[in-house]
Amino acid sequence: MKEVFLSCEGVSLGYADGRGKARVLIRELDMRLHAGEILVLLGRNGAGKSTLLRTLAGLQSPLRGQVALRQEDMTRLTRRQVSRLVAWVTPFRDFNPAMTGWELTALGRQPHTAWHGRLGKTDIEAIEAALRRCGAGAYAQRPLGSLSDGERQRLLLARAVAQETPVLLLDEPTAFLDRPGRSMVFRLARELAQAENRALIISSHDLELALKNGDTALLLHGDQGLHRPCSDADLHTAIDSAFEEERGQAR
Amino acid sequence: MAHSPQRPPSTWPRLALGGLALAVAFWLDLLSGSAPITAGDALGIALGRLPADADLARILLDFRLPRVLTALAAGMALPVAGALMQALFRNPLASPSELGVSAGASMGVALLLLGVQGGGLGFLFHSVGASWGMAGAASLGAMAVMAVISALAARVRQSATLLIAGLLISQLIAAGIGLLQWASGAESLRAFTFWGLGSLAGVDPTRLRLLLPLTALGLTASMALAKPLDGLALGEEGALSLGIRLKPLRLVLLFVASLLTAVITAFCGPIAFIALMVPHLARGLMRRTSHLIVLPACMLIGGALLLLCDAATQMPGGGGVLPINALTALIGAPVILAVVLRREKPGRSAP
Repeated sequence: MKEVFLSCEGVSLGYADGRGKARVLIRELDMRLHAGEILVLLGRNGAGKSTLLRTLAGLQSPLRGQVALRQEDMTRLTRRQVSRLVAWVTPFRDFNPAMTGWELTALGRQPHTAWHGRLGKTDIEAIEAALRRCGAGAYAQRPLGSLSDGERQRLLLARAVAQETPVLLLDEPTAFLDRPGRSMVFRLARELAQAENRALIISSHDLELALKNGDTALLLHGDQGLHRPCSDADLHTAIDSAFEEERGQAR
Repeated sequence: MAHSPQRPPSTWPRLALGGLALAVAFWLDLLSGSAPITAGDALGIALGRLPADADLARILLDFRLPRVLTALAAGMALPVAGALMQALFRNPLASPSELGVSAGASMGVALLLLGVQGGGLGFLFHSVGASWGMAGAASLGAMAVMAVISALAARVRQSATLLIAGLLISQLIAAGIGLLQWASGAESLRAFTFWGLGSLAGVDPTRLRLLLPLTALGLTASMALAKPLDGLALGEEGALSLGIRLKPLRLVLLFVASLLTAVITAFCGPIAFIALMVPHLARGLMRRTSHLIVLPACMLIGGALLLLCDAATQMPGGGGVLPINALTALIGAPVILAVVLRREKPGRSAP
């Protein structure tokens, strides 16, 4: 059995509404993510996908329950320790337009560099490898303001890859990408999982592509999470009912 | 896909050029002034050979050198304070004067100078203790405004909104200072008015002994913060996910930026535009945003620029010495306008 990189036990997620009450998005979630596994995170808008990813990245505390990274309770780890175990990518777009792609990717090395932040030889190699992998080498020296959304998305991925963490959390990495770009993301994910034994959680609205490329899927619906292999029949039934309304409208 | 990434070009040649510009500007400023001191005289005095006219040496060492060193310190400190604030608030238009921090420093000085009536003023202007008092009061004023601005920044999304808030704070403080002036005696009023004009020449060697070390301290501290400053580019949560502890970082940044602003403002009065403009020049000329490069570039470019401005204020003609703020605004305003217009350019994807 492969090592468990990340696990949730009885995790409930949501927000305090400021009057002592909590709005619960997900109740009592149990989940395990193994080395080399790609977990695709599915669910309608507002189902709690981003909240779950933020919690797993240590940016938000669960209302209840425990998140563990490599069997260690996350609340006992320092920010720096977490940053060496988990890389997190959001559709954040508010960049300084003068920053170059190379500089953005280099930020991924911050968990590894010393206090002064100077990049060593291994850092530079990791940055270049990440850029090459994500197909972003060609525009690494261009300022972000001159790049397209898709090009920037590749650089954000490269930044996370350069962080060299066992776990990668990708929040809607395909949102701004065209079809080849979306395939690239999943191809890259498979490569990272198979060749380097990294574990990935990828949230996506592209059901077909996600289910084809994932090993397991976690469907968030109502306040429940259903974690099954991608080929599982129950999962497909649940997905159909969760997305029914949406599909009905599309017809 | 197979494109090999190009490595960033070295910035050393450009930084060296900046250093050269700084050295030239330093020398030029040293030779500027009403007394005719030639390059030969200055070189001789620098090498320890006194010229025939001993007065020249006295002018150079007691008046010119403090003025030039003050310009250098202010030129280095203010842009670095601006760069820190721009990174902290993720706002390209943040700077001590635009967000009211300089005004806060002025308020501190005003409370000290106008609050202390009459007789104590001779003491106030010439002792080391008084210099500490001015620097301390200015720092407290600057930090108070910084705290307010940070609280506001946590709620405000639009960069322009924060700017308007800063402007209002400045106006509010100006009104407060006006009230203080109205209520205070003639002598302390004169002292404060003289300070408020903003001058690099008013710093005597006694004050310089406080100004230079504090500036050096602030600049060193800011260089030590280069790495987390870069991380802030990913937004607050992005920075957290890189392992940065945001709360202590914010406090230290506020402290360092306030200190740099306050020390310069306490002794030179409010100097406009340099803090806002130079970080943009530095990023543009270095073609980088990494603070390991931008901060030293700010020091070199800002130092050179303010030295040149200072030299220009000493030009003969007109009635006496030009106010430094007229020159910094003359250069600064167009640069800022260009930055704002470039951000507005259509085609840049705005979320």
